[in-house]
Amino acid sequence: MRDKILRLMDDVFMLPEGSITEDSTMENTLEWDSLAHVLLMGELESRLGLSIPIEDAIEITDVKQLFERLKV
Amino acid sequence: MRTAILSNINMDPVIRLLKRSRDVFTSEGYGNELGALLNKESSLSSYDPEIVFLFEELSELTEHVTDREKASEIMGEWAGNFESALKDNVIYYVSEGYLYGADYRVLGDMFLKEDLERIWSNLLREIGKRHSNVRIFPYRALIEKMGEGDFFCDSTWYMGKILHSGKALKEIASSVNEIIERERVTPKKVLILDLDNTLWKGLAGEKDTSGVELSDSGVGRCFKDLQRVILNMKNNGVILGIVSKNNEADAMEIIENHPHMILKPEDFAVKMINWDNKADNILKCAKILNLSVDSFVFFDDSKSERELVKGMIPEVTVPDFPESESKLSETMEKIFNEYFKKNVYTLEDSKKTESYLINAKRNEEKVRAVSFEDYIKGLDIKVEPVSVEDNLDRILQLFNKTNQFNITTRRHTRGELDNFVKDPCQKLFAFNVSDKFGDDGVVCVLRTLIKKDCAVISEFVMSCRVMGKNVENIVIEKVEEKLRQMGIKTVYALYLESLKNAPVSNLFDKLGYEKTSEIKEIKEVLVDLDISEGEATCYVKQG
Repeated sequence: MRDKILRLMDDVFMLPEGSITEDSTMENTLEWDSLAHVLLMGELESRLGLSIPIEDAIEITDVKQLFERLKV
Repeated sequence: MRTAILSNINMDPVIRLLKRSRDVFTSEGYGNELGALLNKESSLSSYDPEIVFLFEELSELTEHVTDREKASEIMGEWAGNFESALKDNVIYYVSEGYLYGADYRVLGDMFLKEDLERIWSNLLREIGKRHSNVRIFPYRALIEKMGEGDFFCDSTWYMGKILHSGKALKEIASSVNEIIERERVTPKKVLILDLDNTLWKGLAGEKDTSGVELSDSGVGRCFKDLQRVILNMKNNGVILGIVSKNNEADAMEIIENHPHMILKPEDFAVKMINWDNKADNILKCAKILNLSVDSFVFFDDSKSERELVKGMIPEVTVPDFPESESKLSETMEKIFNEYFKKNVYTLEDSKKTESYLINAKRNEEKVRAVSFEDYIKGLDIKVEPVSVEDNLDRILQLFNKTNQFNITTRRHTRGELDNFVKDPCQKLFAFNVSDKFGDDGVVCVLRTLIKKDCAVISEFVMSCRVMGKNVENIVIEKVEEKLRQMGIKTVYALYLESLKNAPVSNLFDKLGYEKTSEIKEIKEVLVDLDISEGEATCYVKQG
């Protein structure tokens, strides 16, 4: 599942496959801005069936937190 | 083509998708599409788009009212403002109305939703009649193709006012691309058709008309349906011609008398039914119609004929013929879309039902020229200072989340913010902004550092929700007034370029400040802010 999420993130951020890793953060990934973040939450829900409440979603700023929140 | 996508909801993802392949205007937020169009000073005006797409989310625009009169009034006002903003040399596409939301699904009156949407359609049609450069973006077709459930996405809507699913956003972007591509190419004018095995199955003249298959079922139906597509294309402005190797009398016998012929002799502007070379016949057609051959499309089942025409008149477009007869209609539809379709999309004429629909055809008296200034005035924007202490959470969020309207992009912790408030050498300002469409809440914050009779605006942050409405002018006036009362004589301001804050790169020029390199008085402030000398642009305003 972790890998699926990372590949989905590549796709949503329009990056070459393999760009997003467990160390990626909003800070070190130019394409991961607030807009891309919202789209990511939508795609996680519609494509992988993973949903995160809005209040929590806006607090997440890196892949580690995302995995932790999703318990994957 | 320089393209702009404007909306009252967040369509930035579409802009982002389009940017991969074309020049697109970077909008400053959403919800101010009319302001941006009306304002001659706006960044949109300086971008000078050639084509503008307006995606109007109808429920937002009408504030979810379900009263026909009221909705008609709101839409009419929008349309009036839009019409005042039109420029002759720009092409506009406005999306069809579609009311999405649970509130519309629980209406008792089953015609209400449709009526409300139709008010919008009628308005657009009326505007389109008056302005040939205003067209309708076929938004509903996209929703119907994908289904409401897949098209809209509630979670991204609540998180960031993005109403569409990832898949829908891609569909919208590709539809925009198609339209732009069509705008660039000149549509074809003439469709030249062969007869045997093209308009009907079989060869004319073998027996009587019974020698060809054209009927209501089976293979004959494939050809009959193809003719229906061609007839509608003709009614939509495509000129039809026949270039076919037959005895003319045999062919005309079928065209005139076959009971299943949909196309009639008078539907063809030109007929070359003889045994001559088809390329020569096409050139003759061009002469008769007085059109150049590059506006011709040639449709024939025979590969050798197609190759001959391609070789002898390369300007003529020669599409492939389908392998299977059941694909005839679809192939012709594709030919229409690719070569003939103009971007003029007319809504089917709907019956003028009730008087409210007529009202919606915006009362001519209401049409008044609206300037950007009038428009802004009409919005009734209120900028009210609010207590900093009572809004610390929101202020912290504005400092740390705002990227575009942010002059120096300083991020702060809660502890730092608490210290700013206590510090007598600092003054924070926060503002609540509202207009007649609603309250945007606390959306603007400024931090100033005071040094004797000087003040430095070190941070100025505003949510993109209210950008483009000249809110910054009102804010700065209020801040300057307050600073004057505090005995401040000189106000400095800083700008530090970031990856994302281009929208405020010349903010202080616009606000009447001058660039300065005389920064002795504020050197210490820069040190406090951790900005090295020369890194930031400094501005000053006296008195």
